[in-house]
Amino acid sequence: MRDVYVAGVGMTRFGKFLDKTLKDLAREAVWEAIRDAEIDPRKIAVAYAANSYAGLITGQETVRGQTLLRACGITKIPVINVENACASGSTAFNQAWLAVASGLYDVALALGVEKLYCGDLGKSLHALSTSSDVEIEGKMGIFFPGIYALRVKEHMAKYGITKEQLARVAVKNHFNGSLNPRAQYRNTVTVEEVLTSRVIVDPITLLMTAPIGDGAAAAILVGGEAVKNLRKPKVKVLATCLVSNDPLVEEEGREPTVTRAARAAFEAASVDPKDVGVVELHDVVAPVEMLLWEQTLICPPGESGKWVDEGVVELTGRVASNTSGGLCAKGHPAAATGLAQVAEIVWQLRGEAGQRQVQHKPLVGMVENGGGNVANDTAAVAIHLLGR
Amino acid sequence: MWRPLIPMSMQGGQDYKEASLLGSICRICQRIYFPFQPVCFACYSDEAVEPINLGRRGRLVKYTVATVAPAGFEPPHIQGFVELPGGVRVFSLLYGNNLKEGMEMELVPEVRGQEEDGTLLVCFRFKPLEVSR
Repeated sequence: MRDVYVAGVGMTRFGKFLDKTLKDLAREAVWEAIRDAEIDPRKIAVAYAANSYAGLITGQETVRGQTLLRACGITKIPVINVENACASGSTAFNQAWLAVASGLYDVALALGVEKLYCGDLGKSLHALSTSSDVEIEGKMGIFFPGIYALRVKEHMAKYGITKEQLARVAVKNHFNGSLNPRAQYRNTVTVEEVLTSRVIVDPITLLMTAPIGDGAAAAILVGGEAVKNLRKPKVKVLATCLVSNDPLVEEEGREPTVTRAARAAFEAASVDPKDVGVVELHDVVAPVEMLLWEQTLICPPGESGKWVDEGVVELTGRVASNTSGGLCAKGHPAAATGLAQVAEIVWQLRGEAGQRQVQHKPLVGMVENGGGNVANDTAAVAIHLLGR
Repeated sequence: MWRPLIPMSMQGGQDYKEASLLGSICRICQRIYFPFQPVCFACYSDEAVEPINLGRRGRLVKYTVATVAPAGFEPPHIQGFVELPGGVRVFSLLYGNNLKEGMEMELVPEVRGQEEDGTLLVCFRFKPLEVSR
């Protein structure tokens, strides 16, 4: 496999944009990535277009990538339509890496775009509910925040994590989001406000949850000859690993699916988890972030509470976590999320993250992005390790 | 007439209220799955799998109460996992105000829809086992 670099990234602000179409959002992110990479768009040789819910929301069930990229002026090249629920963006990134690493193409585009505000909340919620086995859990009335709440409750019981510690993760993410001009929510919140906001599903309160939203993000990956022309500081894809649900995950001796992906990524990259200095994690409810520090191997088992207390995960800490604000404050337009996470890590590694720049100048950053739920496990999990 | 809303998930006689859960067992490794799983995940065998009656009782492993519910359901939306004899864990909605982890639970078959010919579509929840005195 060849070395692959992220040459450029782009991202719209996340939010509620009733006046913008999927095409508008895609064009904004793609052209920002093109300009960021300072690359001739004619050199893009393949595109991976991620979108999860427009089939149900607009009716554009097929060839979504071709219709969106045409609006960006990109035609003729192979377009692969990618869907893996909330991990679609990361899946597109993973496949774009493969296309370049294999040597088949020198320049690949990965796009993730979603528009969940359509003026009909019921329609949006129905679309989101299809990210499980609709013949089994769907019919049984599965409610995703409840599944996350169960994981958080178990984690709390196992290690004596307090509700205040859970709340402080949400406070941190909202603070980071307040410094991010592209975040959906830019207000700060207090521990008390988080704990007294409406209980959605115990122990998760409203201010710990990610909103639905609209947005797009894109990355341009390069290898071979195309690497020579890069002008921005180089960000290398050290590893990207994509796995699916493990039906026997609860059996003794099995690792959580996130850990299986992380271990594979760290081995492929020959990187020690201790070297990771900035992470973007799939905090669809903020407290899950604590579990994810441990499951991705960057935090010893049971020490996530200590990490909160000691500020390890703040912008000033050793392992700054969800510097963008995370899903909880930056927003979560499903298929855009994975590539927005990549964009944030690229900006942090280049030192371009503005007010929310991690102070210790990290050398390695990590993305963890999960999507869907099949038979009680996350359907798709991606881990990317990026380095400078 | 009735049939399970989730294919191969329940079985029983004419009265759906008496129905029990249906799963599969792999005769090589003895793993049990719910609902019926046609290929064993551990043995990768599609030949050693047989249906198995999983009964109507289990133990509550964990649960959580949501104040909001998906379309078609009413809050409180209580979700949990019930462990059946043999060790298989079933995701289920639950009834009960005083749920406790570890408590014995029993199946509550319930009608969730109807086909054009009148056939009832039956799913289930669990509720705490009522001990008769």
